[in-house]
Amino acid sequence: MQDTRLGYRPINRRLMWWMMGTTSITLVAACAFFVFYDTQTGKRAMVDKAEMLARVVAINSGAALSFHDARAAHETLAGLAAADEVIAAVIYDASGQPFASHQNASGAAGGLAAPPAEAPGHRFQDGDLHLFHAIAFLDEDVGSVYLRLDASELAARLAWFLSVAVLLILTSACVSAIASARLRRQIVEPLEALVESSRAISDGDLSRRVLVSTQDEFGSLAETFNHMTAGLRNLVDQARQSIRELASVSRGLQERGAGLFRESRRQAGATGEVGHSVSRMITSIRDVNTSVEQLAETSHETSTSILEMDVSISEIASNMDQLTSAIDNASAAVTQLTSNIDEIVGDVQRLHAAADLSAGRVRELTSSVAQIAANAGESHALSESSRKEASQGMAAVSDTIEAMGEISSSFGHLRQRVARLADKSESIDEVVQVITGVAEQTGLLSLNAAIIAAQAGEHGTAFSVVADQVSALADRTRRSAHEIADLIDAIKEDTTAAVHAMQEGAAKVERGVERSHAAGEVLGQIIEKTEVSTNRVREIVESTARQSDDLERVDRAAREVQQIVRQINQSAHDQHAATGEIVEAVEHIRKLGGAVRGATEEQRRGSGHLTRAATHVAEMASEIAEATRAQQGSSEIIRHALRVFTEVAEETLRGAEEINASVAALSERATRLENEIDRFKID
Amino acid sequence: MGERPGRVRCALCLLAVLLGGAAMPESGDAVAARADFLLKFARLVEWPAGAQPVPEEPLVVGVAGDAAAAQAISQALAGRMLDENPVVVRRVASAGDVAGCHIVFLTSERDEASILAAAREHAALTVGESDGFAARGGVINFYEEDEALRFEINSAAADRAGFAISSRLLRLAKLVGEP
Repeated sequence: MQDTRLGYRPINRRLMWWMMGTTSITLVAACAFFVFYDTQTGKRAMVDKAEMLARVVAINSGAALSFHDARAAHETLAGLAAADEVIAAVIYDASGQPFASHQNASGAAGGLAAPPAEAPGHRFQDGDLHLFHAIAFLDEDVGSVYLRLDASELAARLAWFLSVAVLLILTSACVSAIASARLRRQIVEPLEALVESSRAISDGDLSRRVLVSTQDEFGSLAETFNHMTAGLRNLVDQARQSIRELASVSRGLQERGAGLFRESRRQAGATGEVGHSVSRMITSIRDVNTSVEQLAETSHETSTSILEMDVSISEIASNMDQLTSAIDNASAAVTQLTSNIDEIVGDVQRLHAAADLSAGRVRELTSSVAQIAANAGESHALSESSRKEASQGMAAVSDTIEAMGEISSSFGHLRQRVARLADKSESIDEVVQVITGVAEQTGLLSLNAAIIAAQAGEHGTAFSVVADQVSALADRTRRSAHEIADLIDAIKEDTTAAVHAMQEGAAKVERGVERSHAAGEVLGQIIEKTEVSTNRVREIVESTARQSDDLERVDRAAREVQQIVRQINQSAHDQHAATGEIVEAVEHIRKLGGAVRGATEEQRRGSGHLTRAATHVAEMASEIAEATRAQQGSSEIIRHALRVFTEVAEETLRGAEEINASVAALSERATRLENEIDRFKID
Repeated sequence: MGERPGRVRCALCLLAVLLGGAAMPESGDAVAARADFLLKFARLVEWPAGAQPVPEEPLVVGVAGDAAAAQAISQALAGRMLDENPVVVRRVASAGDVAGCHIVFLTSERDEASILAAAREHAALTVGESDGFAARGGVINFYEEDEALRFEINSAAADRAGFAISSRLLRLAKLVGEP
C-alpha cells in the first residue's frame, strides 16, 4: 500500500482524487461560466437601463437645450432622483459646456465635478458606469447627457456568486470524500485484501486465505482465489517433496561420485606404481639379458679355449708318444741319440712353451669360469629379485582387479540411483505440467475476470486491476514452472549424460578388469619363467663350481707338467752336456713319459669334462638368453598392457571427474530448487 | 500619453468658442434669438388643415409694428430655410396684409386687435413681444426673465385658431389664459 511509484497509487486514493478532481473542475468551470455570464448580463442590463434613462433625459431635455431653458433641464434631471443607482447626471450643450447637472443624495457627499463632454458611449470605471448620450432636437444635435451609475451592486453580486461557488466546491469535496470512503469500504477494502493476499502468495506464502464476506463478485473472486491458492499449495507441497527426494538422491550421488573419484584416483595411483614396478622389472630383465649374453659369450670363449687346450693336450699326447717311441728308439739307436737329444731338447722346449701356454690358458679358463660363476650368481640374485618384483606386480594387479570390482559395483549403485533420479525427474515434470496447467487456467480466469470487470463498467475498473495482478501472478507462476521444467530438463540431460558416463566408465572398468586379468596372467607366466631361469642359473652356478674344481685340478696338473717339462728341459740340457747320463735319463724320461701319459690322459679326460661343462654352460646361457628374450617380450606385453591400463585408469578418473561435476551441478540445482520451493510457505 | 486629455480638452474648448461665436446669438442679440425661436416655433406647431406650409414653397413671416424692429427681424430672418422651405419676410402694415402669412410677428401693440382677428381668419400663427399679448388673444408671446428669453403660450387661443402646439414647447412655456 505504501508503494508510491508514479502511476501506482492505491485505487481508493485514485478514486477519491478522480472524484474530487472532476467534481471540483466541473464546479469551478460551471461557477466561472455562470459568474462571467451573470456579470456580463448584469453589465448589459445596467448599460441598457442607463441608456434608457439617458434616452429619456435626452428626449425630455432636448427642447430645454434648444430653447436654452436651464430650469427645464434641471427639472428633467431632477426626475432621476427616483433612480437610486444614478450617482450623477450632467447635460452639456452643443458646445460641450455643462448646461445642467444633478447629483443624487448618495453621490452628493463626494461633490463630484462634471467631467468634460465625450462622444457617445459607455465605460465601467472606478466601480461605476459612465455613459454619454447625444441629445437631438428637431433633427439637430443640441448637446449630450452624461450619466454615472453605481455598479457596486454588480461587484457585490460577483462576490456573492464567488462565495456561493466556494461553498459549493467545498460541499462537493466533502461529499466526494464521504462517497470515496463508502466506496473504499465497499470495493477497495476487499480489493486491498485480495492484493495483499496476492502479494503474500507471490512472495511464496501460500498459507494465506482471502477473507471477503460479501456475496458479490468480490466474494466469488476471493473464493476462486482461495481455491487456486489451495491448488498451488498442493502442487508446491508435491513439488517440494519431489525436490527434497531429488536433493537427497543428488547428495547421495555426489558422495558416491566422490567415492568413485577417490577409487579412480587410487586405481590410477596403483596403476602408476605397477607401471613403475614393471619398468623396473623390465630394466632388471634387460640387465639379466645383458649379463646372460655376456655369460654366453664367456662360455663360448671358455669352450673355445678348452677345445684349443684339448688340441694342445692331444698334441702333447702325440708328442709324448713320439717321445716315448723316441726313447724306445734311443735305447736301440744310441748313435742317433745326440741328434735325437737335440730334437728332444727342441721338442722339450716346444713342450715347455706349450705347457706354459696351456697353463696360461688354463689360468684364463679358471678366471673365466670364476667370472661365469660370479655372473651366474649375480644373474641368480637378479632373477630372484625380478621374481619377487613380479610377485609384487601380481599382488598389485590383484589389488587393481579388486578395486575395479569395487568401482564396477559402485557404478551399479550409481546407475540405479541415477535411474531413480530420472524417474523422479519424470514425476517432477508431471508436477510442473500440472503447475503450468493451473497457471494457464488462472490466466484464463484472470481474462474472464477482466471481461467481467469490463462489463461492470466503472465499478469494474478497480477490479480489472486485480484481474491484471492475478494475470501477472499466473504469468509468474507459469514462468516459474517453465524454469522448473528447464531445470528438470537440465537435470535429465545431466542424468542421461551421467548414465552414459557411468556406462562408459563401467565398460572401461570391465575392460580394465579384463586387462588386469591379462596382466596378471602375463605376470604369472613371467614368474614361472623367472623361476625356471632361476633354477637354470642355479644349475649353471653349481656346474660352474664343479668346473672350477676340475679346472683347479687341471691347473695343478698343468703346473706339474710345466715343472716336469722344465726338469726335462734341464735333463735334456744335462744330457746334452753329459751323454752318459742319457740312458738313465731316458729311462727316467720313459718313466716320466708314462706318468706324463697318464697325466695327459687324465687331463684329456678332464678337458673332456670341461668341454662338456662349457658346452652345457653355453647351452644354458643361450637358453637363459632365450628365456630373458621371452621375458623381455612378455615385459613389452606387460608394458603395453600397463599403458592401456593407465589410459583406462585416466579415462576412468576423467569419467569420475565428469560424473562428479555433473552430480555436483545436479546437487547444486537440486539445492537451488529446494531453496526456490522453500520460499513457498504452505502452513 | 499623459498630455492627450489636456490637449483634447483644449481643442474642445477652442471648438466650443468658435461654434458659440458662429451659431449662438449673444444674449444681447435679442433679435437674432427671437428669429431663432420663431423658426423653432414653426417646427413645433401644427397649422390647421389647409394652412400648412406646402413643401418647397416659401414660409411667409409677416412682421407688424415698429418699422425699426420689423427691419431688424426681417434682416435676421432673410435668406434662412425652415427644412425645405425658404423663409420669406413680409411687412404687415395693416390687417389686410395678414393674408398669405404663415406667421405674423407683432413687435408692438399697434393695430393689434385687427391683426389678431385677421390672423385668426387666415390661420396665421401670432407671436408678439409685448406684455399681456398672450392674454389679449395672441398665441405666443416673448418675455425676458433673468436676462434669458422666455415665452408664454395661450393654449386656448391656439385651440381656437386650430393650432396644435407640441407638448415639448408647451412644457417650456408659461401658459396663460384670457381674463
